[in-house]
Amino acid sequence: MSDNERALAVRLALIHAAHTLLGTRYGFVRNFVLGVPLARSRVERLSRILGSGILDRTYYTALAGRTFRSSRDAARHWKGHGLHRRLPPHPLIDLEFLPAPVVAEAATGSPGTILDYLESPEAAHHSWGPLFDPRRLPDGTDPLAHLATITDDDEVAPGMTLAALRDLLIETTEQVRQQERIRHHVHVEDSWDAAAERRYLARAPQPRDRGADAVAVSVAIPVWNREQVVGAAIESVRAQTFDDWELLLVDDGSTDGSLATLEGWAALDPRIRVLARPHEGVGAARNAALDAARGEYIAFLDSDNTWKPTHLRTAVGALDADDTIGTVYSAIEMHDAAGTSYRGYQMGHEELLADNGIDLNCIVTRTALARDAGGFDRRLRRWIDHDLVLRLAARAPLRYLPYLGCRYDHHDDAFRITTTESRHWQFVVYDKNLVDWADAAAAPRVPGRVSVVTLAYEDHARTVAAVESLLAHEPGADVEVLVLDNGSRPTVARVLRARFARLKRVSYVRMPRNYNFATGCNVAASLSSGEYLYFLNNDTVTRTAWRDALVGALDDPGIRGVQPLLAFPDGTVQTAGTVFPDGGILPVHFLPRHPLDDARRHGGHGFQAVTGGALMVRAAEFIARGGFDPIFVNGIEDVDYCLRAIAAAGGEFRVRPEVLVVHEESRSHGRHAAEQENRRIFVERWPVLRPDAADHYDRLGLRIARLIPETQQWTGLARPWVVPDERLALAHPDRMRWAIKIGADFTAAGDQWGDVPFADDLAEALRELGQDAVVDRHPAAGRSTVYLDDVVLTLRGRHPIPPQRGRINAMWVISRPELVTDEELRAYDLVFAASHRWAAHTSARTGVPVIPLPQATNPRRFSHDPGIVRDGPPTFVGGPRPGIGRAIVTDAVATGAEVHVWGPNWARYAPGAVVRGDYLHPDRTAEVYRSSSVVLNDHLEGMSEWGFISNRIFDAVASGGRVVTDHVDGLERFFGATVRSYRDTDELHRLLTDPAALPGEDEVAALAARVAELHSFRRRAQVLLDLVLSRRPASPR
Amino acid sequence: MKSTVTFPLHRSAEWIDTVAANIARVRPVARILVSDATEHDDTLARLRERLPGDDIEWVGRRDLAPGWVAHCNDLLARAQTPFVMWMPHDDDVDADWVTDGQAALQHAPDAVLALGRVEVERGDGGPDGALTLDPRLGDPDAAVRLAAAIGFVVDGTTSSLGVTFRALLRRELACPLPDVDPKGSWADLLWGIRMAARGHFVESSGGYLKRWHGANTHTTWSNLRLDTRLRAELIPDALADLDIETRYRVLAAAWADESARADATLTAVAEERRLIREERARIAEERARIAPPTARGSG
Repeated sequence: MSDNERALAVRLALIHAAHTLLGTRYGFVRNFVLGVPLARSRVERLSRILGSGILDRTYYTALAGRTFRSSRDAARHWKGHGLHRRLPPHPLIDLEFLPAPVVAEAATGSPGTILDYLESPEAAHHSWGPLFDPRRLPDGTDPLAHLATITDDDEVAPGMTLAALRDLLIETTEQVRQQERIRHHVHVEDSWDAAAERRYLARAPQPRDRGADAVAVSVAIPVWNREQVVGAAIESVRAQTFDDWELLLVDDGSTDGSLATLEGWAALDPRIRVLARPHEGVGAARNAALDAARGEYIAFLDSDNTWKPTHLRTAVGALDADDTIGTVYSAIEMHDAAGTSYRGYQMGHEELLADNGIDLNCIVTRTALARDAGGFDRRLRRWIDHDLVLRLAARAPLRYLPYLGCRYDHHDDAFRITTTESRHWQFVVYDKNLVDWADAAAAPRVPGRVSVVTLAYEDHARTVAAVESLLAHEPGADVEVLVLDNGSRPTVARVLRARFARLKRVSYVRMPRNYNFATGCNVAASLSSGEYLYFLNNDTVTRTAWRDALVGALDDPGIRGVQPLLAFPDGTVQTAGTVFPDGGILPVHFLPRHPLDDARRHGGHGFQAVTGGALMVRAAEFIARGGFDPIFVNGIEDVDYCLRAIAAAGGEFRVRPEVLVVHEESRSHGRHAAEQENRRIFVERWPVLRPDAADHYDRLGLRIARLIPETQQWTGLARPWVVPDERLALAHPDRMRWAIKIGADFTAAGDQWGDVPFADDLAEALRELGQDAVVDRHPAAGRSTVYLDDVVLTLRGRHPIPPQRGRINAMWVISRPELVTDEELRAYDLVFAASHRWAAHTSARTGVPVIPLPQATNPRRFSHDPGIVRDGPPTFVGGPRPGIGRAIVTDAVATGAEVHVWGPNWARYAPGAVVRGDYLHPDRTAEVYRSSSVVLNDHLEGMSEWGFISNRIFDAVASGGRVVTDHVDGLERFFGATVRSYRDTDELHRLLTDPAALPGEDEVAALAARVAELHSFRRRAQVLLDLVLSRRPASPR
Repeated sequence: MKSTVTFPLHRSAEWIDTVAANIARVRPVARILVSDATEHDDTLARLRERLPGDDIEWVGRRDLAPGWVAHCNDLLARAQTPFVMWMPHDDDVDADWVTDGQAALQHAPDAVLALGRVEVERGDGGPDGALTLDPRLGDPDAAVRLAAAIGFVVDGTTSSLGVTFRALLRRELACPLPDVDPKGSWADLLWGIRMAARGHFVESSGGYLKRWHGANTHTTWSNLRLDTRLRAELIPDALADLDIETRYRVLAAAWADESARADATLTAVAEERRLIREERARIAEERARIAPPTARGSG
């Protein structure tokens, strides 16, 4: 074997090993091991990128922020740099929509990984970007190949071409890029270009001569107990190379020897004046100096800082030279334990709104301008300097002068504002400079319009879901949605723009940085045009119509605001109001982890506060109150607002439990970061509150047994532990609390399960019998408040629900009996089954008594109306069986008859013309049953075999519908011959086409009345109640 | 438990499995009272052995008047729950006959009994079928109910009335079975009329099976509508709970109704009524012929 042959053999062995370990799709492994020239492999990969069509050169060029000589150059850049920065290659693809490991590997220089993935079957099951979802393509379409065929003129969403989408995303990217520049402006350097400074100073304009009577610049130094350090500051003023100044030393009520020290300096230099004042804070002290200033310009120096000697000369010279400039500022030299650093660069109003980058000690401004700006805001306890700088910058341009004017020595001092006052004040400053409440109050508002304010931060998926679900429930309402993006990453901005571009009622506003919840809401409120403001968190999903109920609550002038019922994703209450426990310092959510029915029973009246997670208020009131207080960072601002609103106008807040919003509390970014500080500020502001938690729980027959502190360390937050009120149990000994457990999950899809209205109807019937009844969806089966329940009634669905110790456990098997195990049966105190046959068989087989309890109907919803004309075709209401469809629908269609179907997921099982809608509201179902020539029904094989008669038949018959079904054991027992069954399509054809084959109207009406009487939920509830009472121990609790 | 299911046994060995199965089915939902007043066989002892537990009350031989009527009446008197029923040893009952009957009676506080659909299994070669509550027996007007109940007797459609013996009863309104003769003839029918006089019946949805066979108790009875005591004694006695005015109004209506239907449905009683009516008409005609009426005020 030659050396070459030996080398080749080694390479092949390595190839084999690499393929074994990593598979064959990783071209870089193959190329590396084979020793194929790297340049050639790059050529191949770039060709693959270009050939795939995923690189849109125009789009990528804009996102990359540079130009390319060719598409190949662009592809090379994407591979080498763009992937690393997660730049999307195409308007319809966003890398965040692809699996993170795939993108991470591609970012190492292997774009082929992405192409491999996009060609894989997995990629066909999710969106690739905000507007490209392969699942919507016709069956058999190759998504990647399809993507390559989309041209600029093709619509990628209703009313939006690819070209329009590209333009929109490029515009968004450029806006974000500009904002990113603003946001990342503030920085420090560890070196200073002294030569450049010298060159600048050498040619800097000099101050003009003002004559003897005029003062060029007033210098203000506020002093409070700084006798030891203020001398250096004063010396630095006296050492200026420019003489035309006056120094105003403002003693802010010092209790040490500061005043005497200042007076000593004044005696020494006639340009120095002392203003002695009682202690009112630094803002008031500086304002006193501003009032007293005689200089054309004014500068502020802190008592513990010093100026460089050329500062005033340079600054005054610059202001003298250009009267279009309002304020000038120098660089600053900062000293601390870590060493020396420097900060100095040009900033404008926009940059200052994003961060604090100019030290007050460095500025010299026109005195008139400072007075016009209103001086310092004495209400602020911190960031008072930045507030003034912002207002100066808003009125006239700022100019940076590139010299070191000020030296700042950082030293620990317990009395410094920065260590004694909350850092939250910065947000107050931003808020007051971002929001003009006077303008907002003067702006016209559209009567009846609801302006929804939704804040987004770093999350597009939830935001889109929140807005789309909100609008879906109010298709025609006058609603404007203001999505305010609190400075999310670029992808979020692009996705939100793309998704909302199609929605005329949605506006997207991006802020350059995160201003937190309060300011974000306030900004959006000031931009809104509606009579009502509805603040809705972006981690919500609206599940019901909401406008009329919420706006309707505000028809009452005594209602200051209203919230919907907020639920956790498991279907328990997240908050049904905000209450104040007696003995607790902080407010808490009402009914957390309770079933939703508890909130509905409470009614939602009489709250002092509600949550800002979903809060509707009158816009005028919100503006009059100055919105949410930004001193609270992402927490308690809502409660504070409510308390302020009531303090100002009286009244109360309300919850509308019929409006349901799912809220993923704690999913918001930064939700808990400032919790402790928020609480401290809240308690300081609201030291005395009226306890009301006990009253609200009392309305539900519950009492607060004790308060459980949130943590071992007392934080002021204590949650009520509630127990049943014994007085109620004594007064109504037979009243029990029933928890009905169902298999449906708490999603919109789960809402369409048949057991949802079934359980609701049963709960209603139990309540009519004087019981307390709640319904738990499957995820809430084990909620933390189950200890309040007396009876657990499981409507067996797909999954078993374990019985709960100490409760009376009953199970009602209404479907899928084959899933019920013997062990499960034995674990229950009572077992019911909607089939006599199965009950008898199972009792005999297992020895567990199974009591027959047939299905039922709600005569309130399903009642006969003789006036209805049966002018609709045969109709089926319900979903298809996965993978099967419905035999009755298939058979009915096969007869050639016109058939209607209502229900979800029918697309693949029935012709399009047959499917009338995804969802038929339970309140409309009876009407459809009555107006159809025939109501179609069938059963799962096991169900018909065992005699589990469908609930649909009971409902349809009670409605006066004429039912045709497959045969099921026991049908005649309940419905005689009035409900027709069929054996084959010939018989079905006759039933669907020959009116004489169907029962007459009198027969139908008689059966409807009989079913309503005999098979109502009320009757079933009575049976359940009787038997549960018979099982109840003598002392129930 | 709000209901008691009583099992009046008598020579029930042949039906011991049926009785045991029935007890097992209703035991979770009702108090159980099993009785054999004569203990001519060991059925009661064998059942007691097969069905251990202290939730069943067993009552053995005791000094009662002979016959099933006295036995049933004794069990009715022993029951303490708001609702009660007699369970013949040869029928099948489902638990929901009790539970839904109970619910129905609570839903209708004035009703005296709740009756569901009784499937009938004809062991004698006749067609299987079902008996359901006639809606007239659920009418709030006693006259309507009694017209129907008496109509069943005179028309010979007695099963519609006899089936009510299987109902779940509201104990406080339930009357004892009448003791007409040692065989207890027609006791269920006459009792049914008396119950209809006391209140309306309601329909329930539970499951029940009646077995029709040669050894059914009623097979030894003669035809009630041919009994000469029917109109003069048995039916008026069954209406004893009514005040006298109502009683006669009901009876008059019942017989008038019977007469009206006579042409269409000729029963033995109706035939007799028709003959009487014809005789009366003939006599009236004869009287008129002998003494013609004078014109008022003519002379």
